[in-house]
Amino acid sequence: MTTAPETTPARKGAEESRQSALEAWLAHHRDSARQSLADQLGHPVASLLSWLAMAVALALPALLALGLMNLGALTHTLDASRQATLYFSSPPEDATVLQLKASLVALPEVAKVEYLSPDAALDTFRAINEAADLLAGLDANPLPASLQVTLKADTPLERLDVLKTQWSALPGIESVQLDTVWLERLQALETVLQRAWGLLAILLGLAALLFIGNTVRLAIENRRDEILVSRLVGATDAWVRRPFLYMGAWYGLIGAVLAAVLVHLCMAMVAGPVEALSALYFSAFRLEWPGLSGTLILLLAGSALGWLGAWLTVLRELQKVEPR
Amino acid sequence: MIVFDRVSKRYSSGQDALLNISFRLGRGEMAFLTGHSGAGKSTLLKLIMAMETASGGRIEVGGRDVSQLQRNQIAFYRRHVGVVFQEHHLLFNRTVFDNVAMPLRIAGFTPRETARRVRAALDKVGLLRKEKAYPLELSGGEQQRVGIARAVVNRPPLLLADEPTGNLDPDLSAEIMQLFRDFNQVGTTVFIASHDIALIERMGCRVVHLENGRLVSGGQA
Ligand SMILES: Nc1ncnc2c1ncn2[C@@H]1O[C@H](COP(=O)(O)OP(=O)(O)OP(=O)(O)O)[C@@H](O)[C@H]1O
Ligand SMILES: [Mg+2]
Repeated sequence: MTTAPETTPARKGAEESRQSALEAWLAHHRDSARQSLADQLGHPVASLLSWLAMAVALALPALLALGLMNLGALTHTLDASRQATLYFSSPPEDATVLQLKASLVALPEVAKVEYLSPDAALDTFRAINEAADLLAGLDANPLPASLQVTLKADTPLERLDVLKTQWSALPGIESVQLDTVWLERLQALETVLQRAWGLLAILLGLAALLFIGNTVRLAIENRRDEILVSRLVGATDAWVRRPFLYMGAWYGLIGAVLAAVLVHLCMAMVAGPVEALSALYFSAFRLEWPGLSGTLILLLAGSALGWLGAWLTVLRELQKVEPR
Repeated sequence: MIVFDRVSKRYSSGQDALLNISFRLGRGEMAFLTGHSGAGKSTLLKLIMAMETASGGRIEVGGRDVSQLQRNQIAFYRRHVGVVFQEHHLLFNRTVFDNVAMPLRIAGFTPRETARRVRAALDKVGLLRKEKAYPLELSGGEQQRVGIARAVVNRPPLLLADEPTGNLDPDLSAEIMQLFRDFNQVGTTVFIASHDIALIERMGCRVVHLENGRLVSGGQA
C-alpha cells in the first residue's frame, strides 16, 4: 500500500527517528536477548530446573570426554616409554654388540639402541634400588648385559609381537622383555569408552533438545495472546520467533556455565588422587584440564543446543498461533 | 482504497460466509458494515486483514491484491491497516503504553519516536494520563480507547473496526464513534462493522448491508 507522503515539516524529523531496517533488526535482537535473559534471571526458581537439566546433559559427556582425553594422554605417556630389553646369555664381545646395535638401529621401528654392560646395569640398579645391599654380599655381578631398545611410539602393537619373536631367536640373546599387554588393554578400553561417550552424548543431547523444546512450547502457550496481537499488527515470523530462540540459547548457555563449574569441581576432586597415583606409576603423566578452549567449546555447545531445541519447537508450534 | 470483486468465502466446515460480494470504498471514505448476527461482517473484515483467504474473487486494498500476498508480505501489509476488535485484544500484563507501542516496536521505530507517537495517540483518545496503568485498571470504554490508540498509532491509511461499541453504553458508544470520525476527518479511510442501527443512522455515513453472506445494499457509493 502506498502511504501518502506526509507533507508537514515533521516529515524530516520522523524519517530520522525511524531506524533503518538493519538498525531495527539489531535493536530487536538486542531487546529479545536482554528480555529473555531478564525473564530467566527474574524467575530463578522456575528456570532452575531447565538450567540444571541442561547442566547435567552437558556435564556428563564433558566429564567423560575429559576422562578419555586423559586416558589418551596416559597411553601416550606409556607409548613414549615403549622399551624392549634384549638380555644376552653371556657377556658379549664388543664386536658382537656393535654389529647387533647396527642391525637393530637399521630397523624402521627402532628409535634408539643402547648397550648396558653388567657393570653399568649394577650401577643403575644401585642408584634406583635401596635394597642394593643384597647384591653386595655376592662375589660376582649377577646382572646380565643387555641392549635397551627404544621403539618409535607409533609402532603398532602387533608389530611389537613380531619383533619380540624375531629378537628372541637372535644368536647370543637369552630373552627379550617387552610388555605390551597393558597397552593393549588400555587401547581396547579407550575404544570402548569412545563408543560409549558417543552414545551418551547423543542421548543426552536429544534429551536436552526435548527438554528445551518442551520449555519453549510452554512459553509459547503462555504468550499466545501476545503472539496473536503482534501478528495482527504486522510482526513477521522472524520477529515472533526471535525471543523464543534467545530463550533457548540462554537456557543452554546458563546450563553450560553450570556444567563448566560442575566439571571443574569434579576435576578438582579427582586431581589430587590421580596425580599421586601417576607419580607412583607413570611419572610423565599430568592430568589434563578442560582449559579455556575446552570451556569455550562447552559454552558454545550449550548455547547451540538450546537454540536448536527452541528452533525445532518454534517451527512447529508457532504455526498454530495464528489470528482467526 | 478497498475493492471487492465477486468475493466469496466458504469456510472449511462448508459454511458459505460470503457470496459474490462486490463493492468499493474510496480513499478517505467512512462507511459502516451491518447485518444480522452471522451475516458475514467479521468474515469480510478478516479477508481484508488477510486473516482468512477468499475462496473466490479478488480483493484489492490500497492497490494491492491481498490474496496474492506472501506470508511475510502479509506482515508488512498489516502495518498499513489498523484494526479494533470488540474483544479489544489488549495484553493485560502490559501497561497501556506498552500495549499501544506494540505496532511501532514491530515496525522498528526508535524508542524516542515510539514514545512520541504513543503519547500522541493516547492524547487523541484522552488517555494520556493512564499510560502507566494496566488494562484491567481501566473501564470498558477506556480499554476500547486503548485498542483504538493502538490501531491508529502507526497512522495507517485504513482503519477497520469490528463491533467497537459492542459492550458499551450509548453515551460511550457515541464518544467512540466520534473518535473514528475524527480520524476520518484527517484522511484515514474508516470501515466499521456494527449492528447498532440507531447509532449508525445518527452518523449519516454510507452503510454496506449484508444478509446471509450476500450484499443487499450500500454496494455503490
Ligand atoms: N472459523 C469459522 N469456521 C467456520 N465457520 C465460520 C467461521 N467463522 C464464521 N463462520 C460462519 O460464517 C458465518 C459468518 O460469520 P461472521 O462471524 O462473519 O458473522 P458476523 O456477521 O460477524 O456475526 P456477528 O454479528 O454475530 O459477529 C456464520 O454462519 C458463522 O457461523
Ligand atoms: Mg462478528
